[in-house]
Amino acid sequence: MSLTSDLIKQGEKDKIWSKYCGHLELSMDEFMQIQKRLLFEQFEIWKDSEIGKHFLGKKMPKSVEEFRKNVPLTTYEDYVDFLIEKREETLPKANYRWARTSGKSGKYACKWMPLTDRMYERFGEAALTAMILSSCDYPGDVKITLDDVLLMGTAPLPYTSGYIAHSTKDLLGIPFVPPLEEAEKMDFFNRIAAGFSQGMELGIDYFYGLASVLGKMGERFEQGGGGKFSWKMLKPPVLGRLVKGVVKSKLQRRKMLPKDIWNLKGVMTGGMDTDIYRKKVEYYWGKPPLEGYASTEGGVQALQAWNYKGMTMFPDVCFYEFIPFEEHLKNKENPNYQPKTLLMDELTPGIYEIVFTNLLGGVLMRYRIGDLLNFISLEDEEIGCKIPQFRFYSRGDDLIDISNMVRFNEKDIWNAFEESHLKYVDWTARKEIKDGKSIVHLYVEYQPGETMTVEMIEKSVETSLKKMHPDFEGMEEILGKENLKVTRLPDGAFSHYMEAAKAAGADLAHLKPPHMQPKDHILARLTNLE
Amino acid sequence: MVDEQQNIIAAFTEMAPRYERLMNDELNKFWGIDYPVFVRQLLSGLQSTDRHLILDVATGTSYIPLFLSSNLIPFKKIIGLDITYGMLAEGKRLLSAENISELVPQVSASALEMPFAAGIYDVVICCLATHHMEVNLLLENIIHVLKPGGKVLLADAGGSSAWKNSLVKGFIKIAAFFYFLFQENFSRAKAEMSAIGNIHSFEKWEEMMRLSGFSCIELTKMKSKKFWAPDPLIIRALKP
Repeated sequence: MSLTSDLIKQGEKDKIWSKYCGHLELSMDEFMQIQKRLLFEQFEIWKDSEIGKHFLGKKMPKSVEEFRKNVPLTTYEDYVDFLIEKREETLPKANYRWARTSGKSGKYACKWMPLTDRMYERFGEAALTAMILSSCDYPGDVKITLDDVLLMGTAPLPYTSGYIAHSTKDLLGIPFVPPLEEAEKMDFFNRIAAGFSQGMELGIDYFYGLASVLGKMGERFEQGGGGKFSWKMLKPPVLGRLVKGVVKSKLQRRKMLPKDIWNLKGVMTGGMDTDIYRKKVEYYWGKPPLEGYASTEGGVQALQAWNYKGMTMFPDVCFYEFIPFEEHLKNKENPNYQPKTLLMDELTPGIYEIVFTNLLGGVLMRYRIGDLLNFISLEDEEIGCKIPQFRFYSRGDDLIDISNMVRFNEKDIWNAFEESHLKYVDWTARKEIKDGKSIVHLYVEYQPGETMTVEMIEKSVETSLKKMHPDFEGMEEILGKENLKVTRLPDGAFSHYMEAAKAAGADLAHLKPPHMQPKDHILARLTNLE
Repeated sequence: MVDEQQNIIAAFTEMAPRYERLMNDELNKFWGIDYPVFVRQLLSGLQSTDRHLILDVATGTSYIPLFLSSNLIPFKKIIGLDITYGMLAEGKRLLSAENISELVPQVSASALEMPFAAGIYDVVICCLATHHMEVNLLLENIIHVLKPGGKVLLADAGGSSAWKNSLVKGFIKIAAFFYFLFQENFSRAKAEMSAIGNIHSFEKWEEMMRLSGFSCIELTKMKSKKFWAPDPLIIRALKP
């Protein structure tokens, strides 16, 4: 068992806080010093390797400025020759763990990323930080204990979330429902179901996964879909939990909700759906979700704090640069244009494309993952943090730009669908040209029994989008109406698509069509069920 | 909303060095009033002491902190909040010249997601900026950071009830867009066109303040110089 679990056992809360949440107390100068020191360590790590020489040349940079000047911005395409075939002999170290993520259709089915031991350990440490922050009420408030039960509603090995689960277990030794070895043999839905079923007996203290899963489960629970009677319910812990749930809900004169059964200490989520389901998760589960920013290429890079506002970057996971939004747009228009980047201490509030260089022995240099972040403030007085605070804004490719006047991201459209109260299976949206002008075309599959007309949805979604983007209304006044169209997809469109993708051996991340800007062949498959 | 914010940042960064002069010209043109006179009217109800912590929302080039300081109105500190870093930088320069920058810490952040703890401010001021924000969200943030019994002072343009008519509103938006496009630039034109949607009538303001949980709401409507321009509105209220 690690030193950390000893600290938890001994109740050394101050030491645990300072070790895992100390980054929140750094000054901007201290943050930058850590960034620069670790970047220089990377130069040493890369210098004799083939991949290092490929990007850096024979002479290692002498300064951060030299590194930024001489090394071009990169994408995964630049690493394909080294990483797709897992050519460890070209990399600085050996015996990597390899994490998988979705690739680019037509080019490579999946991306592989090498993880050093330190990167793997850092996953678990960041997960522990997330657990602490998701359950604390003030700085230094560490509620975690070694018998806490964790439900991981995420992908298994060799996906990064699988490594995060294993690393967390290595660090803390806390129980998972279902146990990781068992969970990895199950598909996603069975894993979640088994987790909650076992959680009836053992309890659940922390959930890590998608906010939409918790939101939808809460809805099902409220509608009375919490499960049928089984003999397992007669086990004393299960019975106790059920009785407690019934009493709590009766006292409050409402249907039983998951929060009546489980007292979750923390909920940790990542991804676009966190903001959409934030209120629902809190209502059903009794805790708002703590949002993180993570990727296979960059690891767990940032987390919210106990006030659930902006996210704060960890200084020791990656070296960060940011492309200002205007530069990002210029580069989108002209791919030959080299956008300028800013460092963390040069930021002002606004939207930026993130660029990162792996620390801790990783191999990506000045890597463009394509995400846009919205820096909402340069500090957060409430939590006493002096590091810029951000929210995830959008994937760069996912923005729907209408006549250069309004830009919609996935969150905008998702929120608009939620506000319409339409019972839908799923949706996808893209920019199309109609009668010579750009419009947003939304494609949605109804749940069985839904009776809303397409016109009603169009009106509701349009009203929501205008509320979020007053420019959309203004644009209508200047360029005319009918800038949005809704098409109802045939029943079963999404499940048919997913079955076909599964049969074709698609990667886990490509089983579902994208929410934003689907290509013609994807849309054709959704609209044609033959 | 983020897109609009980005636009506002671009427009105000460009305006920062000439902001006060521009405000004065525009207030004179539309309302027939000088900027300092208008600010004096807004702050006339402020009874602060040297123990009061004041938040100046959308502080811009720090005109309000400078005004309070030069008029010897006491305060412990004024926190200047603005999303446009360029405006704060200009404000910092002016505060330093007056030797009061230590009394006026600046925070560059969105007023719709204020990075402050609950119930810490005695007074919140916001002068001529609410039309660039979603007002309900702004009021939610203000009431969150005010102490119980704390005071809010707001000043902005208030539309007449005719503005509710979508045809009238549409026409004004187009007019605003083209006016500021020719007078200023594309970012300002977009920012001001979006702002029309956030200009509310006297009655609507009262309703929004009440629903946000404020009490002792006082609204003062002034008269603009041009019949078609929105009238200046000063709002004072308390957090119960």
